[in-house]
Amino acid sequence: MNGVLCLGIGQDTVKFLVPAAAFGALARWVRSRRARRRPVGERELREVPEFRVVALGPQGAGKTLLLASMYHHLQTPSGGHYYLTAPYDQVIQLNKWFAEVADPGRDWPYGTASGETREFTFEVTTRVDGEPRALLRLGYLEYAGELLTEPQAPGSTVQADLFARVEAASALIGIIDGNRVRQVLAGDSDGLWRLQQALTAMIAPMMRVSSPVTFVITKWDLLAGLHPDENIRLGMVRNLLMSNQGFRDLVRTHSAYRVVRLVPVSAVGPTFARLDASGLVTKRPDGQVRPTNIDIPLSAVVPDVFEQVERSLDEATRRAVLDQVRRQSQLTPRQALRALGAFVGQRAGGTLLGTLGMRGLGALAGDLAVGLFLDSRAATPTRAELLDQRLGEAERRLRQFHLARRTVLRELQSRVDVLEGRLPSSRLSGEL
Amino acid sequence: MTGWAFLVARGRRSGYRVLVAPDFLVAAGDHGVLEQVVAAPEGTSSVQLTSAAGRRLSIACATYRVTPAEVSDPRDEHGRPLRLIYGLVGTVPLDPAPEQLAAALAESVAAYQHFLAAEGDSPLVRSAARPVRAAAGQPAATPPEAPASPPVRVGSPPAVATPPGVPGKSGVRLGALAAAALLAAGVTVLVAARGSGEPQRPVLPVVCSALPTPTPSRTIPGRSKPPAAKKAARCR
Repeated sequence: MNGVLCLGIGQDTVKFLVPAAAFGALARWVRSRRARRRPVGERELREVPEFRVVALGPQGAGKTLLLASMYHHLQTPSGGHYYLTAPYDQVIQLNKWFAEVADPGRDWPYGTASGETREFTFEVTTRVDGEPRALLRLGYLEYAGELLTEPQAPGSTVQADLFARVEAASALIGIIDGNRVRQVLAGDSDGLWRLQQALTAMIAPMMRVSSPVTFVITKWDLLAGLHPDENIRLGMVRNLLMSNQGFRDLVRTHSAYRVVRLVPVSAVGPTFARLDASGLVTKRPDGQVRPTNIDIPLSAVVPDVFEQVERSLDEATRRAVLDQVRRQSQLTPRQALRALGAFVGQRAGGTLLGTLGMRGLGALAGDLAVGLFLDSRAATPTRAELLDQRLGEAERRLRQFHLARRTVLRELQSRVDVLEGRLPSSRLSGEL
Repeated sequence: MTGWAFLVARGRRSGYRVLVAPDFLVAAGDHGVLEQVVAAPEGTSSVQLTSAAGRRLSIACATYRVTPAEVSDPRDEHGRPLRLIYGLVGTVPLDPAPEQLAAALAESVAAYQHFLAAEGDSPLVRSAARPVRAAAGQPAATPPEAPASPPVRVGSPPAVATPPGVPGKSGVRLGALAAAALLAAGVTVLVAARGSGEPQRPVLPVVCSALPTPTPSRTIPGRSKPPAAKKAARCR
């Protein structure tokens, strides 16, 4: 009896397996030959990494308004280098919501029902050589807030689905109702109890995962009366939130390795809504939508995921990664691709790849995820890089793509940095 | 044809929940499926759902914006209008007459007013069976009872009567599984029979009454058999 038979496989099966293995090897060789003939970097241009975002917040906190206003603001470059695109059916839905929000003569949209949970897919798009090109994909989950705070009826499966998505998210956005915060700061004890309830419901799933968190204070316009200085106003809100034990624990326990932000946002801006005599939020008849900080929650996703990745690397790996960034920037696109492949096979590259995989980028081929991360750490494109005339067409195309991607990644980072500079209270991690 | 009224709505403070549900779903603790109902903003729409317990339900539903005639100041605490997602649940596709939907709405409005008066403490209302027009081509009667077996979604006896000559979805899947099993068995017999002098064990086609279970990527230490193996063993 030979070794193969010891494994319980018959000789006839071996007769079949050997040619099958030979055929498989031949097919792999043909594929690799074809891959070599493909234009350089074609896979990089085609495969788009996806970051999954879940916005957690109780009912009425303003999740749908935030989403509709965010998309409306970001669907054009507005002087920047990128904009968001989405499938047409989603664009129609988002624009319908925004139209309902922005028309002073219409009521606010209905609250979202449990069955209306749906995922939106945004592509962060820029123009490369005059053509639109998707650089990143952001999956964004829209759901009913009561799934977070209320027990579901027997036989319902939507809540379990939500929590599964939270655990798989690359980044979380925690939505805090600014009107509730206003009530608490005005001494409303019922408001305090309900704010605590909302925070508890949000913090519990957040503690189970380690993705970056951006807490968004919605309806920021309703808090304008707290203090004329916006940073002091945000500081007051921050102190209130930090008085909640769960919130404080999340920030303090996790701040060593997790990015946590507090961003004040108004989906409609300072002159659109007001409180009526019964304390309900109503539209002003002459109101105009001018959102505040509406782009920050989505802009922060990629920089925060990557910052967290970098912070979780040991010092030697981090140095090796930054060295690789410098090396790559001095190579031609073809050489850089080859160097990237070699780097992924080394210890530092492997460690970086593993960390990126834990941040939800595991579905992306290893060298692509690492390449995206390295681009996020590269400097702003130089004039020499932009005008390099020595390259062939395919390499030039790839170079333009990389430079556009670097520009957009820098811009995302800079939007977050500008907010931090203007409102230092917005950075929660690092809080002691 | 039989149908049951249902209502999903939110309160001024509390979120959307099932407020009225068919008595047989409530009795079985299976009414949570109605939380998945999405009604079109205007007109009547039809939805097919499978509950957690495997019941296949057909729902004719609509939305209704609550007016001051029914509720004073029909807004929630965030200033948003209140709406009802209501309609009729059946075990075959329904095509309710306008007056039948209007009756379901009237029942829903009454239940909703009661709910708003004591928000949070209002009990779930069980709706009773009522005659409803069936969609064209549907059989005249259907049993309202749930599948007797626990939730086996594929391969279990269909909860919905299927018109003669038209295979149900589960029937099609079962057929596909059987065909795949027969094909696999045939291939195995062919491979095994080629040139081997050893007597072969008879290969019997095995048709499982459940979907193939995904093979776990790793075995948990201490477990003698992965779940898939156990399921296969039961099938023999």
